[in-house]
Amino acid sequence: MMKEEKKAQAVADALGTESNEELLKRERRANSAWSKLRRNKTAMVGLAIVCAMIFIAVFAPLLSPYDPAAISPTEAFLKPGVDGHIFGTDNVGRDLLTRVFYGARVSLLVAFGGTVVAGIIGVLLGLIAGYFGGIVDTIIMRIMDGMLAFPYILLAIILMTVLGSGIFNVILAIGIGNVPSFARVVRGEVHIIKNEEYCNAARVIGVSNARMLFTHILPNTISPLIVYATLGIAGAIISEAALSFLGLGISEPTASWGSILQTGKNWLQTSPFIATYSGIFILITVLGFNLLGDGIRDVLDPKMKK
Amino acid sequence: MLKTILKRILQCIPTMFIVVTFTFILTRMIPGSPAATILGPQASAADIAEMEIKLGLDQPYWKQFMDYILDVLQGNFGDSYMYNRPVLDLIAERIPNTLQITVTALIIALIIGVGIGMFSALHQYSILDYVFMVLALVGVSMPIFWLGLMLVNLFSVQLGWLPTQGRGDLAIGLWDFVSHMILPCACLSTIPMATFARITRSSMLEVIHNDSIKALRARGISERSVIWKHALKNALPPIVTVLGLQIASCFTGAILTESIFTWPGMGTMIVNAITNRDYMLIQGVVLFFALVFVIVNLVVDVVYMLINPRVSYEGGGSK
Amino acid sequence: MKKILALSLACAMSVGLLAGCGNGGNNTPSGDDSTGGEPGTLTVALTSSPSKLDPIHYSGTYESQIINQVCDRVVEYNDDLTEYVPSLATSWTISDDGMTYVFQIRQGVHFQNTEYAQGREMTAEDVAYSLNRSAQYSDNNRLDMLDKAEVTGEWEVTCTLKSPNASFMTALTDAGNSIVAQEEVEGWGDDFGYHLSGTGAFYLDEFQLDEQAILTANEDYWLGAPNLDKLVFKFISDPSQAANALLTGEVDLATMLSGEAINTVQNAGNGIELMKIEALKINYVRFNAQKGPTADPLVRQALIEAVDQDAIRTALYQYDEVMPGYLPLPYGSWAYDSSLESMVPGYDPEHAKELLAEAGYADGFSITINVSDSEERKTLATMLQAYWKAIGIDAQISVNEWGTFSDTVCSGNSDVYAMSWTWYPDPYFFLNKLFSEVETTAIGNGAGYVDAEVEDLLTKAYQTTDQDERTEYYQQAMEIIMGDYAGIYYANPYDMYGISDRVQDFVPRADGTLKFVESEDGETIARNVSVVD
Repeated sequence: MMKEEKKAQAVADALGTESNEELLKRERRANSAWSKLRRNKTAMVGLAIVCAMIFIAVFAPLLSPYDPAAISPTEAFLKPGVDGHIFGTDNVGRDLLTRVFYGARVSLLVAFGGTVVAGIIGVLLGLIAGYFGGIVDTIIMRIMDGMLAFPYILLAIILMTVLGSGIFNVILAIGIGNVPSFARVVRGEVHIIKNEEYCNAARVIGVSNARMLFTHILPNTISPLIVYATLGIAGAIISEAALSFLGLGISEPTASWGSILQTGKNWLQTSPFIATYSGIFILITVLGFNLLGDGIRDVLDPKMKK
Repeated sequence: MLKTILKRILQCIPTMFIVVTFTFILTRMIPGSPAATILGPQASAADIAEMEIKLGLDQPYWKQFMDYILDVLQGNFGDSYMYNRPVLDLIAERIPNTLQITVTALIIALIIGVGIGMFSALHQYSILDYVFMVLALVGVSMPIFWLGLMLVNLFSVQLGWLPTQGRGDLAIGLWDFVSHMILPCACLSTIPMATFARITRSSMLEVIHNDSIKALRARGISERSVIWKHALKNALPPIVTVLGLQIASCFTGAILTESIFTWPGMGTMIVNAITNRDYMLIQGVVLFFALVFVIVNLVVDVVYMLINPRVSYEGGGSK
Repeated sequence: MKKILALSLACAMSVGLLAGCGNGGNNTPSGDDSTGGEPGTLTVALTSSPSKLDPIHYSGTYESQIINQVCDRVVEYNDDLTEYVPSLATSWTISDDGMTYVFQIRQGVHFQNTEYAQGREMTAEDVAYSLNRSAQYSDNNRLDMLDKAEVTGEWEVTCTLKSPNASFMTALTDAGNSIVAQEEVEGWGDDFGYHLSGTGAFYLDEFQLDEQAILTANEDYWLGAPNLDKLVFKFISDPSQAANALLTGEVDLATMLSGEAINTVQNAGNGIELMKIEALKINYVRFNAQKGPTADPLVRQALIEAVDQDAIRTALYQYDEVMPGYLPLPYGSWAYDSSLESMVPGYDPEHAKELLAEAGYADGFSITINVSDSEERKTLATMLQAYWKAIGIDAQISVNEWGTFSDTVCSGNSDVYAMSWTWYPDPYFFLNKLFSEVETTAIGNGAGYVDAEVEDLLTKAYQTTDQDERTEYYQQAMEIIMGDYAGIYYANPYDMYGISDRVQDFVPRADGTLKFVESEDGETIARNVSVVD
């Protein structure tokens, strides 16, 4: 972004500021990431899905007709549509639509939370490793390699067994599991950026390391990070569901898409709708984040597009 | 190039050491004692203490760790607590089962995925191209354990066509063998297939629009030869990279898939090992998975260099 | 090809959806039979894979099922588990002080024709060797009351106990105390479990971890040849899958069915039937008796009264899998005393609130319910949480897989936990294990219930061999326990089996043991299971 601004500045200087202010504005608008993104149809589909899911999650209490925790054993296993239960009811008579809506809250919270945890730790490690290089880099990246060599789901399973189930612990497990990929992405970027001219220049005039890292290098790693994080959220939603499915993630009575799916697994034959609906919500949401992530990547960094 | 490969192999050593250390620490952090889990709920505290001594778990952690490292360096991965057998034997028994579905799934995914990708690239913007690409998008977003449940519900529970679980036996018949593999393989191949289709399509498109391919066409070389001999060859590097990633993630996917279909492979074994607090087995299997990951990455890098000699190799790590 | 696949994927998803909206449970099993249906072969689904078959190392019921087919024991329980019947011992005497047991060993019994024993005759030495081996090396100390077993005559073995212990005879019926040949044990070394052999009706032919165990008939079995040629145990952990396997003919007998699988079997038709028998099992909720608010019996009474146990049973068990439970003993136990059932307080949330106020908790308190990650337990915890909320108690639910759960309970850190208990018919294995002070670090009495009088009664009960006297002690102890509101024993489950009609003469037993060649007197075969086609 910085380079583009510089270029735009140069163009403006050449043409004279007055007459070109308007032109510049228009060009900026057209080139701004957002308007590029708006022209990308698949990305907009993705964004729409993501927004819809976030809306459901935020307004779950208003949208839901029932209390997600209110059990009613006499109304268990109602088929979809019966007695005003649009998605039917589960094994203790809770309204499934309500639980899927509330599930969106937990699933998205876990996915965002996990990605943020991974992002913060991973970015810090990546910055340090990439910037300082040498032995620091070697130590950090060997540890990251070691963690990457651990199959991700296996690492998450073991972490969950260690931590025990619960929302916070799932966030932690997913977060820790994703740290190495973030660190790697950032380190790669830092390697490129730190040798660019303006960085060398800044170093010459004696900018401190911390300032260098956070004001000059970090902002330039943002584009790939946004792409990576968006796709990471998609992965985290699947991870939460997978862990809950194995009985290690979120568990009853908290509703998450994974925990609903896990309950549904036991009633596949008589009430297959329980597993079906929660799975469809997972699929659609993951699809949304993937579309959005792909779109942002195309817009922010055409080079990354294969 | 030989030097680069050697350097990469050497880099694997600290990686593996870190994996062993991590696994050791993590297993010891899992709540619950292996002895209590092995002996079951009916065991008394005295039984458990006795068993712990037998398993060497009364030793301080650093001693257990040193012993384990020294054993591993001598190729001894210890004995599984719950099976009372060498971990290596158990892994050796299970590898063929896991390979049976992962390799089959990958081959299916590769053939169909690359096929679809080629087709889509050559018929860009056709209706089928759109259909395939939407399906591929859905495919990469698929929670495979859910797909597994849905497939079981449909083909086994509702229709009764395919078995729900277990591994077939060739001795009983070819159908028994194949029918048990269909659902797990369908489940496992979904994500790689979709990924191959997408990467092949984009890679092919880039190559087709490349000047050198246009030049070949201009020279009057047959379309078939242009596509299969030149275009596909040039489109290969990214596909190989993705193949490497998919082999690794297919093994990971096997952990979930196997537990849905009770397939007796490495996946069910590691899940059981974790449930039973079988430290030795957990350590052994994780080490095995990590080894597979590291080797696959190494091979991919080497193959990448071979098919794409222009790439010079700098710095460590894989992509 | 690719189109077909893409299409079938799309179909799979859409049909999955449709099935979700329409009425599920429409089964049309095909005639796909694999091992099931083979003449003379009975295929049984077990819920878990055995890992160790050496009698001194085994730990789970599923393992004992296989050991029991391959090996015999000195004595067995009869069908209704009320008395011991001869097996490898023809008769026995017990000394008056309950310290010495003398067994007359059966003549003419041969070991299986395997690698080392090669079909030689079993001797009194073998019996003494096996019992001493178990007393010394059993991982679970299944015979730790035995001081020594000695050969005191050509066909006589004398067992001396460390102290009088009424559970000795019961212990002898355990698969862990099977009689094996010394040369087999020593010949195979650590691998003995994978090459298990004994004097039993079936040879262990092939044992594939997590897949199956294939057993073949021992034509020279001392009671007579089994009717089955082959007995295959398949390991299927998910009950629904076991039920489906029964429908498709992959297995002939599915054990330990639960939940939806019962429904599947019930509606299967096609000669598939549901079999059930009262199990020696209780499902219960226990309160921490040492720490937190539940240490006060008043609070425990309030917690019990706040819960509608009928509603819980209705919600948890849709398919008549249980009988209502009241006491910490299964109905089948000889010490069961139905007059104590009335001591269970009824559902009365109002009174529960008063009790809480009386105990000084008018504003309620917070507790954590610990359960393992089975569907049934999670549902139970969800319901308890709702009921207790109604009297102002804020209950958190902590679901963990078994290892963590049992660790929490054993360490005495659980406020409330729910689980089930099953063991031998002797009340010792319920009351002593669940309420004795010595068990407070084990999962049995992780709730930490301690009462001096109960302790005294329980100790007396296991040191006595006279059953009437023991009944007296146990019932007195139970009365105190019930009065202390130690727990909610809400259900006495049935064991549910799914069985194909090609299986003949199979009778389930309350202890869950599968018997395919069974004798009531140790002389003749009373039941010899067969398959017809």
